[in-house]
Amino acid sequence: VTFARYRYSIFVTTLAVLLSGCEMKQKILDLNAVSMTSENLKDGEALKETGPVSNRFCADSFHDQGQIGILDRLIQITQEEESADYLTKVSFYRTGKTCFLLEGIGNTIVAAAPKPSEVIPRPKAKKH
Amino acid sequence: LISYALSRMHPIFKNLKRKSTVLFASALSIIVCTRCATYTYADSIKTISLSGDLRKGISIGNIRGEDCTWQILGYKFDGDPSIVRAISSAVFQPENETDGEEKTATPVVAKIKILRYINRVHTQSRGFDGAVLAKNCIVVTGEGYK
Repeated sequence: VTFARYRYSIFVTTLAVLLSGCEMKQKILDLNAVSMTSENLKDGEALKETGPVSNRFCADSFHDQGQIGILDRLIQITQEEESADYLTKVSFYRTGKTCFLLEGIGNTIVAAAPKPSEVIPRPKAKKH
Repeated sequence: LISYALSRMHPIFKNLKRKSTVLFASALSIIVCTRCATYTYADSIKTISLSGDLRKGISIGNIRGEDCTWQILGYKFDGDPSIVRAISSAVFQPENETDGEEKTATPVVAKIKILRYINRVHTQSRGFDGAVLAKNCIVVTGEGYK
């Protein structure tokens, strides 16, 4: 009898608890490429994708010290963990009050493939 | 509050005089607060690319972008300031105004289309927080390349 009487209240409370457990993910920035180690690509260099990357950083004001760039940290730890020189197609999200999420693609610097104009054509074999 | 918490935690603080407890609590607060960190979006990101073209470009000098939102009686207009809008509103900043002064910075919304990437990106929070009115700004600075 008690359950039937309060079933709507129980349902609403359960729903509220479940919904409050969902993590809010708010996009703060999209960038085509970022790096903490390289300023630009030199002549003869190109990027090679290594795969999707994702990382999270949560601000901890009791353990962190000094001035901290949240995006700097996220990019740095992701580059270190993935041994990536650049991160491309990067999206930054805010998750919750103090946490941030990075999603993107890892890239390493490789030697660029020569342009078609730079390829020396092979001499055609003579027909006998 | 800390002195009250201390007096509840251990009897030694109950026996101390109120003044001494407050002094001790203040010292403790200072020690705890000196460990605190300050957070900003970007402190010194080496490169952010807007176009995806990362070949070495030509420097167009220091740039500065800003986005501000207002808050009246706790109600936020346009939500929080956005880095995207700050970068979109980036303006060229002459060399002698790198300290954040806004004397003759000329908005060049059209020219921003040529901006390929930015080096040494730094963001700063600015504004004021009054009882009725508050202004929150995010300022993006860096060296632009085309």
